[in-house]
Amino acid sequence: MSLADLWAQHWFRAFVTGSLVLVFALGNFYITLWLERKESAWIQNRLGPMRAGPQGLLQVLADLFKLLQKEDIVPRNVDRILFLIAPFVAHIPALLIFLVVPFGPNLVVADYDIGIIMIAAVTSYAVIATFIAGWGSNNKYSLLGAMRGAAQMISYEVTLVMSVIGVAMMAGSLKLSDIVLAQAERGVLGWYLFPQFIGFIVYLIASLAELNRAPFDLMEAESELVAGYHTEYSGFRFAIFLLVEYVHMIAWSAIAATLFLGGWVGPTPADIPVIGPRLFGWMTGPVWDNIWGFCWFLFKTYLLIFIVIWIRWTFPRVRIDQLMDLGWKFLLPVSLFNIFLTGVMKYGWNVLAESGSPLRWLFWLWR
Amino acid sequence: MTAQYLSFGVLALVTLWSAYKVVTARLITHAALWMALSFTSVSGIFLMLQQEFIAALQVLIYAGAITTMIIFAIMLSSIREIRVEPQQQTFGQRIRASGLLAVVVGLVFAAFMTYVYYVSEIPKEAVPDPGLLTVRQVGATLFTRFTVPFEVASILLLLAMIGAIILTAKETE
Amino acid sequence: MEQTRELLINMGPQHPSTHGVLRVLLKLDGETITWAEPDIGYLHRCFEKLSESKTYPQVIPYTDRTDYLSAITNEHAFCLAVEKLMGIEVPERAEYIRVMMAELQRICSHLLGLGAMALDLGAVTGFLYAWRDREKIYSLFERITGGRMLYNYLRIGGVRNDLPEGIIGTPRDGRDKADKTIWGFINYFESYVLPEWDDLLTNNRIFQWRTQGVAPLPSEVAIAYGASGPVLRASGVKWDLRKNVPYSIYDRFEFDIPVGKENGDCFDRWVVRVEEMRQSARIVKQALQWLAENPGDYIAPKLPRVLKPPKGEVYIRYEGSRGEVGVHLVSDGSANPYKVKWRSPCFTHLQLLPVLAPGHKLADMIAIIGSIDIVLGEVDR
Repeated sequence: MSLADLWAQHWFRAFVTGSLVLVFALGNFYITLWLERKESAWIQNRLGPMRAGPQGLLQVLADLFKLLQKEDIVPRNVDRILFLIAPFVAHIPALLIFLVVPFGPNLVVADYDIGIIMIAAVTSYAVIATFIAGWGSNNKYSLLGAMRGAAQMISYEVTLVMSVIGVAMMAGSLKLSDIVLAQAERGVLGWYLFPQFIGFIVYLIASLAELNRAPFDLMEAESELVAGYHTEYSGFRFAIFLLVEYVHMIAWSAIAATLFLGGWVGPTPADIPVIGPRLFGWMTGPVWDNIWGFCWFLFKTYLLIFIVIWIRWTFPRVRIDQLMDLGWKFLLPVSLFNIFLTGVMKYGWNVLAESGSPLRWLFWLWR
Repeated sequence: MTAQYLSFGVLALVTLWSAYKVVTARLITHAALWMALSFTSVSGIFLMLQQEFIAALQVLIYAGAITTMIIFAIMLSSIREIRVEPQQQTFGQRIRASGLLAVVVGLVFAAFMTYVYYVSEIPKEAVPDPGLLTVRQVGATLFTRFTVPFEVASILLLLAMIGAIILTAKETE
Repeated sequence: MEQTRELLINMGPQHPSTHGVLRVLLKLDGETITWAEPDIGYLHRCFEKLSESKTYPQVIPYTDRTDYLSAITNEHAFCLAVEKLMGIEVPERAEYIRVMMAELQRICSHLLGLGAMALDLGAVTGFLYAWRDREKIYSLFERITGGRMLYNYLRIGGVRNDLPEGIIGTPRDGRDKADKTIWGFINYFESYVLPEWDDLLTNNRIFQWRTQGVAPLPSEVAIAYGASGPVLRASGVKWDLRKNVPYSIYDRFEFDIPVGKENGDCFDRWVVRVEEMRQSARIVKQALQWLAENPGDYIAPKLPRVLKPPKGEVYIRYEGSRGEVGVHLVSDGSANPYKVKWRSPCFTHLQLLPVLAPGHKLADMIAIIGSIDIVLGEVDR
């Protein structure tokens, strides 16, 4: 059986692409964790890890090995099965999100028509995982953390989905690759960051809450709840929770890059005027397109990750009722308004573009 | 084809087994989690029928939102465990009582499904192109043919929400 | 209808945010605190009893260890008490050095208190900025006293040694000399650190959400509970022992007393502390000017080798970093004090916790503990 035949097999393709997603997620987890430590150190007048490898690049590896060596402690009074499976349930949603993310023009594992809904659906398991961990630990702090987590996640999931509806309206599709192509057609100003600026801000805030990142890291607020729902975890189970947290962060940044920053779209060296085509003309074609696309995608994703980390190390934590107020009383109405605005503006452009009135330039961004 | 049958079998078994556990689990939190599993495997069956939209909604609404709501209700109230006093019921009595209930529910459900299968207009053969139900079509149908039921359902949900808020507001007073 | 159940939760003694070994018992209804009870005594070291078997100068290092974040002010309070008992005249230069050190220590202590409160509210960076600047004060203190945290620098009647060469610096010293000269630090502190605190936290919306309106303390309640220092002033009572009952040479300095509003909340307590740091910097600047203009080396009077104060008792009220430090000294005429009673402001302030906490969220508890700024070493002594 040749490789092409194998590739034609469903299971083989699923296996290979799934493994690649896993490798991507783990590799970026490593880099993101290192980045977080270095960036926070930079913000706080520290050096961060320096000893293990150049610039502490091997520190994450050392830490992971340390965690793996630890005794796997299962406290006596926990709900044993739930306690044991919680970390594994937690990482289902984090990894599943990558299935629909287009990494490049042709680099997408499962290009569902319902991309955005699929993302919203799988993330709801994160709540369940949190609950399993918090309940299973049989610890008051864990339970309080899980309760906060459940409240926070269901509240912000609504806002999160609402904030991307504007994007779906602009692109006329829920498929992520369609959304990227729709942005690709219209240059940098066509990125949905600009017409959907409100949506982008709401998305950014809501995804921070969904991720439990500071300033919304209420369910693991160490000064109140010790470590929230993973207080009782140690060793590699704790490492998996850590992994999930960061993979989630990468996933949400990747989605934001796809929806608002044009995904893999970006100029290649061949696009440089005058000298570009002559010097880099050979760097074109489907393979090179995917390579450049992947680079742009990574660049945009890391830009957002950088911002998310920056936010974490700048702001204090909000309180649970303030978080709820912010979500329900401010962000949700704003995102609903954004949907309304998008509809009006799109309609306005459609009407005015035909008539050729100069007023149409007001609606140009939403064309 | 065998792979499909196999995966359908697994999904169906998981669905049924977890549904059974929902009823029999002693800890109410366990019941909620079994229910989430049951919903998930149902969405797996939808995926096998290539109805991605329905599958995603199944997960989003049932496994996600509904389960979370139930979990929340559990955590906010003080019901943690359903206890049956041992001297009141013997094991046999329990089996008989729950068995009777199961048979009655099963019969009603079977009758309903038979009715649906034979009397309604649902095509009995496999639909040739299963990718029919796209988001666009669902949306269009909801806002044309089913506008009134859709709006009525929305108002109903709104009423329920207001009612719930009023109930809790009274409690805190 | 099912009643929601109250949850009894144990915060501490090993909890990340209880500032040492404090244990607080909390009853929660959901996330709302209905009852709070601090449980103290985990850090009791018999300071008062221990002092009875020491000679007077030997007690000074022990006072360092009561409120270990504000050691100089404790030494100062104890020395003032003994000096009052014995009627010792303190050299003027020693007085200025003492005041300057005490005010630097106040800045240092407030920095940690504010930083720890910021950390508890989730702003880790604010905490590390506080440490960065504290480190500069510590390196200055290390050069002056030889110690970084517990100094044993003040002597009965004066100070142990004069300021080292060149530590005062000139008013032109900037940020690059912040850890080398006191002027450098003060200039750096006023032009760089204070605006940074304002930008990073005081004017931060989330920070204001977390602190404004949280745990208001009416001034009557504050007075009734014997609150003092920043906690009392934040409730709108203009009471500062440095001004109202002047001791040492504080009547020679110009500074203001920052006060909060009638119902001081956590935010007021924060702002009052930030303002106090500014006022302390003002005092340090005046002291530095005097010290630069009046060089000399008379820093401690000649005293007998064994100090035997006359029979009698004395009470000293001292405006420490966290509030009123009171030293009640009873002497029986021997070389050892008959009784040392230490009134610690933190102990008094901790009793406010059951008053302040109920009705607030669990997360507010952190802000409350942070804003009354307790040091368990002083609570338990």
